[in-house]
Amino acid sequence: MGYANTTPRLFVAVLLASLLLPNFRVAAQTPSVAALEIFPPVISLHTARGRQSFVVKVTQPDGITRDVTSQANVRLANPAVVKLEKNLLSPLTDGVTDLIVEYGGRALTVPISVKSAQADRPISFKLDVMPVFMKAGCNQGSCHGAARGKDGFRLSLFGFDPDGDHYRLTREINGRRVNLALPQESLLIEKAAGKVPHTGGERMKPGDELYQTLIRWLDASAPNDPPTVATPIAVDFYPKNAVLDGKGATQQMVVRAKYSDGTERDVTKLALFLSNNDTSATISTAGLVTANERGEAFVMARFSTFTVGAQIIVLPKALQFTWPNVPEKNYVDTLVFNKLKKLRITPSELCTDEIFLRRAYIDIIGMMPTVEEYTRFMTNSAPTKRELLVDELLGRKEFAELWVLKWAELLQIKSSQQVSYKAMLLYYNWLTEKLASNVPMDVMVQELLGAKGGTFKSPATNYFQNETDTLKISENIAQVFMGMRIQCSQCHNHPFDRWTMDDYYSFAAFFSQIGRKGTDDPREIVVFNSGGGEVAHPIKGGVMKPKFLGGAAPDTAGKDRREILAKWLASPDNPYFATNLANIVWAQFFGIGIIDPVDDVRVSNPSSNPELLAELGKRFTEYKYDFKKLVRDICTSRAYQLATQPNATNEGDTRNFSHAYVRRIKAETFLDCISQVTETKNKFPGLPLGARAVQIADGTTSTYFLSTFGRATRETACSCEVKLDPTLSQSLHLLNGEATTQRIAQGNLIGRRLTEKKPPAEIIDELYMRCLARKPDKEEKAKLDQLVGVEPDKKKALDDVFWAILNTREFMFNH
Amino acid sequence: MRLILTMLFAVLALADARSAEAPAKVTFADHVQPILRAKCASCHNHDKPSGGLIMENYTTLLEGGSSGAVIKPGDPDGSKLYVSMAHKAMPFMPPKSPPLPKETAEVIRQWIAGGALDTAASKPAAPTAPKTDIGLKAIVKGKPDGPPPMPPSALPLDPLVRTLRANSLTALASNPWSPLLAVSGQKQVILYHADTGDVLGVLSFPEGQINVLKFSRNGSLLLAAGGRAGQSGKVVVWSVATGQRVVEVGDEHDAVLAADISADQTQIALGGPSKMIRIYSTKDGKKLFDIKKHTDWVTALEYSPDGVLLATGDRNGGLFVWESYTAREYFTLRGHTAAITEVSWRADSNVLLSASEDTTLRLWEMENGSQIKSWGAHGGGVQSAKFGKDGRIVSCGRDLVTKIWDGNGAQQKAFEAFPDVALRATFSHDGSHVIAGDWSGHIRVWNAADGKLTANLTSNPLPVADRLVQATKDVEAKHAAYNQAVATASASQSAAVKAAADLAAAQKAIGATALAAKAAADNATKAKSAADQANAAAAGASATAVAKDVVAKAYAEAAAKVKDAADKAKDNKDLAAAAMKSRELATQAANESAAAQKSAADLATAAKTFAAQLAAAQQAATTAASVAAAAPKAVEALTTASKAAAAKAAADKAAVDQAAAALAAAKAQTERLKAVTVAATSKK
Repeated sequence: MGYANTTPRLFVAVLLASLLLPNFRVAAQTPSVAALEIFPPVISLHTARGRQSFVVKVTQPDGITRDVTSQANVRLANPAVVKLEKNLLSPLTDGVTDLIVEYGGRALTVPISVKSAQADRPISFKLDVMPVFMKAGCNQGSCHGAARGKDGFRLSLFGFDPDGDHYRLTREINGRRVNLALPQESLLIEKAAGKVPHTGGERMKPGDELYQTLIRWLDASAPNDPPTVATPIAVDFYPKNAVLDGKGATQQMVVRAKYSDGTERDVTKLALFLSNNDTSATISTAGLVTANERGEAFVMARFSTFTVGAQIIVLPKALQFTWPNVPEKNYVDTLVFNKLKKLRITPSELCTDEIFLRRAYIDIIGMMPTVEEYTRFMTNSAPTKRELLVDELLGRKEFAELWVLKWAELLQIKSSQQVSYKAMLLYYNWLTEKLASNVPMDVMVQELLGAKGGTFKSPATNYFQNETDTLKISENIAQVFMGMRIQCSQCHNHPFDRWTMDDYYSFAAFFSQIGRKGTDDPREIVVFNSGGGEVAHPIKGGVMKPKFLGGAAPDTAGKDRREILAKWLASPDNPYFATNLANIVWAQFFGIGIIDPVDDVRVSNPSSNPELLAELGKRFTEYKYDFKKLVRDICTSRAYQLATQPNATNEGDTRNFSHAYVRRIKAETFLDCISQVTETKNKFPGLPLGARAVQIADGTTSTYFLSTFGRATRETACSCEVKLDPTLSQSLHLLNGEATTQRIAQGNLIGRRLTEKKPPAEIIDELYMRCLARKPDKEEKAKLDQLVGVEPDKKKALDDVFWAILNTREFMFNH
Repeated sequence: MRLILTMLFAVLALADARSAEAPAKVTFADHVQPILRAKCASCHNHDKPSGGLIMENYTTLLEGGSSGAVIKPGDPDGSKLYVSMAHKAMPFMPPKSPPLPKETAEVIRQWIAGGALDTAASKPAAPTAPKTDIGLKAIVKGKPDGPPPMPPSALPLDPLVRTLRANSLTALASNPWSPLLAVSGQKQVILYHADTGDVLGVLSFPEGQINVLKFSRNGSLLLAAGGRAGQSGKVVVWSVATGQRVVEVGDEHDAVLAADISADQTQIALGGPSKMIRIYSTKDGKKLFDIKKHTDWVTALEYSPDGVLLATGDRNGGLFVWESYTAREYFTLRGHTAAITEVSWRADSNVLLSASEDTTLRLWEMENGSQIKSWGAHGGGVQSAKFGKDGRIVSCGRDLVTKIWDGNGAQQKAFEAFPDVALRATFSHDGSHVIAGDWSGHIRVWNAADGKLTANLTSNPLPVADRLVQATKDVEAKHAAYNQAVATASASQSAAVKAAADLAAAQKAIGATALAAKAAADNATKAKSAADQANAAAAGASATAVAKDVVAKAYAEAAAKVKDAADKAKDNKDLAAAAMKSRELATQAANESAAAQKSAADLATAAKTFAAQLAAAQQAATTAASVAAAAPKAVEALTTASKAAAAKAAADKAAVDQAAAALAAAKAQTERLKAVTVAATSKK
């Protein structure tokens, strides 16, 4: 037994040693440091309650960052001014000093200033108590922040109405929620601390900071703030980015708020933290980021009405990576690859000519390459043949038609009880004319938004006939032209973005003076500037002055507000216009926006590649809003021409364009492609026989096929109107419906080819080229030859082959 | 291996031995129900059976919920109740909370393992019978027989819970037949004497916060309702005369917000956040009715004075009247658009008053259930409104003001505003005073007739000893004030006396000066007549002298002529004689003239003297006259001064009396407090 006893002990010792050794090595080594940073970069403490935590971050030469707050050597130039406990500074006396941080042979100094160190800060309802409700989750939408509250008690959603909240807490039901005599027995406290049954459970513990804040407020007899109280004007979230090395690596974050009275506070303990990708990185309620699986996460801090984010990249532990010098065609590649380098991702290979041909045709003109076009391209040996093809396609009228369709969706061109078909047709024709003659986007949008006159004579005015609600119009315009969904701010400050109710109603004020009157023709109305009408704030009351969303408040006195807005909106002054349109264009060719969905730009839905988006926006502006040039840049980039097959490093990537994404073809284009390959004609109401589905003007016109495959109903301006999700009815329709079998019979392509005495093998080759823009490979060829060979009725056999090809995923998807 | 097994068995055996030692059986009634009540029953109760599971009593708990039984007696790990509670299987209970303490879960485990017994055989379930039957055989209208109900002197006077500051006034009641006020304190009722403002006693309410205080219609019982919000609620009734709890009913999962005892004292109704009205019998504490009709929290409730009807109001403005003995709906009173805060019946039970956050007070008649009157009473919302016995209405609200209205809604009086929302108001038993309190804890007593503030009360009184110290200090202060008043009074008294003396002197002086003036005037008159006479004499003498002079001159001329003639006719004796004669005559006339002149000069001198005398006399007369004229004015001034001094003296005297009374009162209070302290000490 004795022998058996010693062995494990020995084993344990060895194990321990082996575990400890690497640690020793790390400690002994001088860490190589490329950059040392301390957050926040400046520290100012105000009153005896002032506190500031800080973090020390190093960036290694390989780009990996580490939180070395606890390892760094930290000292104070004058310890009499502030007290240093771990990474927390508290004031001792008024004055200035420096925080000196040394790590890995580098040193940094952070200036500290202390003011009113002896004075206590009186409790403030808005600055101290309201953040507690957000941090503890009390006022979120599923709890007391719901429109009707919860269990008889309501708070304003994320605290947009502090005065109302004060009333509801203290006086709505007098004597119930607060107890001034015994604060800790107040219902507010007992519920929050879970001392009495609470549907929301225990939100805070007796003695913790949130709890103490509430008690302190009650001890002071639950006062409200005077109207002069400071308001937060900015929130900083540090560090702005981090690259974490392997699962379990951590980075502490610091949140700092600036107030209108010039003071600053550490609000790390009061901010609400969120991560947009918990699979890659989680963030605790204390603001500690912990790495999980490889990937990228955007962590956010919410405080007051501000949401700020930071980028976290998580890499596998000790990843070895070398960038394989991928050639770059243009700036698009440079910026896409820069991001991939950061993520240590190798892009996929370039796709084949055949795949590129089919992809470019479908994406740029919404059609399949014909057999002749296929042959011509494949036999072309020019090294720039891809660029030439893009240029050729951009010149075709189908390119414009495809974008007319896109814009018709965004502008919701659709007849209804109120809007006549004629008006819609004129509206559609106006749009077609603009896009066909390549009118710059800014000119077109300005004409649209400032439109005046009869809906027949000046069809752009239909935009204001389609939607007549002032608030809806402003929401649609923000969503379509700026990519912002500001709807939330109609009733409360946007929970996950910067938009407040003030912003919302100030923006809506631009559309409060649209006049509409009838004409002799009941189908036509005249849209004009009425010069009167205002928008009032529903909570504060009072008229809102027109103010650009995220911009200045222009002088609108006596002018047409819409014209002023249109001029600003479609101009470089509006930071969102060019990038938003560039993003819409990008999404058309990659199936996913750089910000996705394209019309949901917000702090909490960050851009996957901000530099790329900014550059695209910049170029678009420089091109004088000629988006053909932008399309050319995108389509000739290597990034667009990557294969869909992933490699080991980019398998998990869905947002960084390291490989092409397989996409379902949009309903209209898909129907056109089927018609094209089967050589059948469509008849849509109001259009001649043989018209293409993309040419349908009116959103109300649809067919079973188009509806099944997710054609936009144009009922809203949302990008989600176009549905690309596969459904069972789509599969069944292709298997059994008239779209395949009947069209094959109708077009009688096989019959004609057999009449021309073409051998079956040649016909099979043609079918492949028609539908898939490639020739069958050897295996396919062998199998098909055999199958067709044994069938006496060649037409039947070849029809079946045709049917089978139309039902392949390869046909249904753009890849 | 064998060793390990052996050890394992030993441990198990030990555990067995220990469990065998475990004393009493774990039962539902003794151990489990308190846990379930505290942690589970707020979601799993009759009104809100989450998942169809009711955990309030043994039967329903064993029945289980929508997904079947939650307890398998003898098999804790197969019982959902235990595994959910111990976080061994989803769903974890209670939701969104950390697991309950291990010991708690262990109790449940042991209970299930032990067969999930209801009660231990030794402790049969016995309903808690009330201590006394308080039901009345008949309702007596008007003043009840016997002495006015007042609390016994044996009640504790020290507050049981003392806090740094008072809470908002949550409940207030005035005994209808005696000067007794009940004020909600922290877990206690403070009883005040409505006239003296003395604390008469403290009743303990450890169940939590008091939301309702009501005296029974005959004033013999005091009802308090409330509890711990979100946790438990109860109604308690004390006998005013003994200070003993006589009934406790209600078993709510949240604080009771409204309650009342019927006039015949056989029923107690209560309501709260459960939206239910529950009616209990006071005889055996059993629940008689559950009324499920309100769509929001029940916030107000009162039995009619004849006991026939029960009015209830909710947080959504719903207002109903029920037949109290059948719990049948009698009327739905539609009109209010926001929470009902109080309902009150007129003494004849024919009219109901409702107060609401919609700012109105409304009156409803009970013939057809229609609204008689509605008026905006308090901007922002009415918080409290009550009928007085005489049909007047007292109310208060978010406009901070307390008001009295007549029975038709005409405002009679508005009292000084509170610093914060006025929450509760009531008349004193005789309607002579109004008592009201606000959100910041101020409680004021006013004279209903003139609106004068007569007392400030508090829901957070000092302990008796401190009150005694304060009262002693008060006595000292009052004493000093009294002394001050006395000093002031005596000073003003002497001032008054002096003023009176001055006045008398002045009045006396007035006669003397008048006499002097008269004498001087007479003097002047006399001097005037003397001067006039002298003047006349002088003028006469002067005229005589002139005439005599003329005669003398004429004689002298004649004499000269005669002499001339005589001289010419020297011998003419006759002539000479005549000359002689005429010379004699001339000489005589000259003499006479000289004499007359002299006399005239003398008389002129005398007249001058008289004139001077006259001027002096006139001067003296004028002076005396003005002196005489000034004297009454001085008297007038002195009269005013004297009167003022007298008044001040009287006022100061009154002040002395007042200070003496205050001092006496303070002394009396000190004595009372001393007596109480002594009694308390001797009791110990």
